[in-house]
Amino acid sequence: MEVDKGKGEAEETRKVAEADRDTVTLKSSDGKLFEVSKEAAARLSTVLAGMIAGGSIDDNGTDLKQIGSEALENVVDYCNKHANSIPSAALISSSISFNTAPFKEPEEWERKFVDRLSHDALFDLVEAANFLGMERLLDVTCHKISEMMKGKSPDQIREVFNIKNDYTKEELEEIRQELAWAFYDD
Amino acid sequence: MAAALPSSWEELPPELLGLVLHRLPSLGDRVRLRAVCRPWRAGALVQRQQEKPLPPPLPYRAVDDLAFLVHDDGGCSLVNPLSGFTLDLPELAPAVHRAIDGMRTYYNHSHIRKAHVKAILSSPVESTPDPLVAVLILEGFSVVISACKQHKAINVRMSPGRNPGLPAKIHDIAFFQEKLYALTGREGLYAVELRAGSLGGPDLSSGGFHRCITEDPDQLPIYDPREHQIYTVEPEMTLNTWVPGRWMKVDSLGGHAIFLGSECTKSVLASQCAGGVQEDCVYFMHRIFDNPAKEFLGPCVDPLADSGVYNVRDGRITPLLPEGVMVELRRKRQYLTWFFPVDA
Repeated sequence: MEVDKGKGEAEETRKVAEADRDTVTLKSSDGKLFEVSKEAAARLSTVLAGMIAGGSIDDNGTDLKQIGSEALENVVDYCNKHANSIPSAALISSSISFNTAPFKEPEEWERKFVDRLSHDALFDLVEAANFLGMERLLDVTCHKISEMMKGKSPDQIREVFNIKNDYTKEELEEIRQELAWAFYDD
Repeated sequence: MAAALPSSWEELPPELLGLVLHRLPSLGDRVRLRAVCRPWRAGALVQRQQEKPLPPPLPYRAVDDLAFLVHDDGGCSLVNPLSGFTLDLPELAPAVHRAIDGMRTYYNHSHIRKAHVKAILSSPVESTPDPLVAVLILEGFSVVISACKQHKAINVRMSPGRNPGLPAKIHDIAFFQEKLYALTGREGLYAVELRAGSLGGPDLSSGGFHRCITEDPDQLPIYDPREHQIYTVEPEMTLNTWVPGRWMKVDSLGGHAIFLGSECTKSVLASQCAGGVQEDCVYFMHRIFDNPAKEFLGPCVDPLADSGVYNVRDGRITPLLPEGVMVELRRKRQYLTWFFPVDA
């Protein structure tokens, strides 16, 4: 009895310690472990917030089978940077305009964060952000992707994103004729 | 999304493509995105049927073979979308700002991008030394006029109308023989004379327009889009220019066909047009598109709420497009507007 009680107490202590930890451990599809600020993860990701609240966080590394290590590293990096940055006015006030949906402009550090990514890494990051329900990171990554498209012809967009043109010549000509005004810069 | 597989942008999920589209305010960018590959085109279509429609694109308005383009910052240009020819109108935006300042009780500078109702050009850009652009703004409460080449612009508004403090509302504008004509709802037809130097002067904030009757009424049919009726000024009244004009119903348009829309109107000689334009007919179209807030909420979106072809001779109205096409347009939330490539 005595021993059991002691064991129970130890378990209790361990649980308390776990709840008190201010980081969570995430495991990528290829088995790599990453530590991330619990507060930032809960604030920035609806999925992680749900897991933390529901107690489904594994101290030995919560499995995120859909996310590769490079993308997860970027997610974690983003969360940790966010935890350290002071929310500025730019984050709070949204740029409301007639022509674009209201969304928050990326901050300077967020711009730099996505600018340094390779196109592959950006793609994986936007999918990871989508999977984890990270609205803010989706804003930042989709903003970057739209910037990469603005003013470009379909050919230039295909080149930037390494997309194969799967239209037939006839179909392309049809699109081009239908919407000739949009293609003057081709 | 295994790490080993290279990323494939074709496979960007439709919801993410939608987020990107929401960040592309230019209609050209949106169209070009859809032309990149089949999955993107399909994704953009799926996205379009979602509950949150895309915000209306930056406004393009056809002015002869030019488009009148309002930039994000309120600056205006005339652009030929086919050749890329661009003519900036740097003094137009400041004149719009001054007009907004003059009506501070009703508008503020957040209205700058949605101020423009209709833009017209006095004569072709290529063949005239310095044509004028007139833009009906602020729901018809003011007009700004800018020279295309000399950088000068003024704003003009009507004297107060029925509502104290508010100028009378202008429904339509037209250039004719060195004058800009303005049709008001109740007060009739007005004109402002535009001499060479008048654009350099101060704004004609009140009373710039004079009530008038045109000298050659046959050549200046003016239309009231809200009434969907066609009028011309009674010929007998032309001698006395300062007596208010009366409206007279007509039963012919002299071989013309009139294209009527919420935002642009044009009269063409039907015999000079290719493609079966009927003479003495009014092609009308009214898009319910005027409230962007409602547009977001969805219910009042109807690309062709009120459209048809009205034959002035026999008074019959026939549908503008077959019903099947209209249903399809409504389903796709596609809008139509008149586009007049080149003058005949």
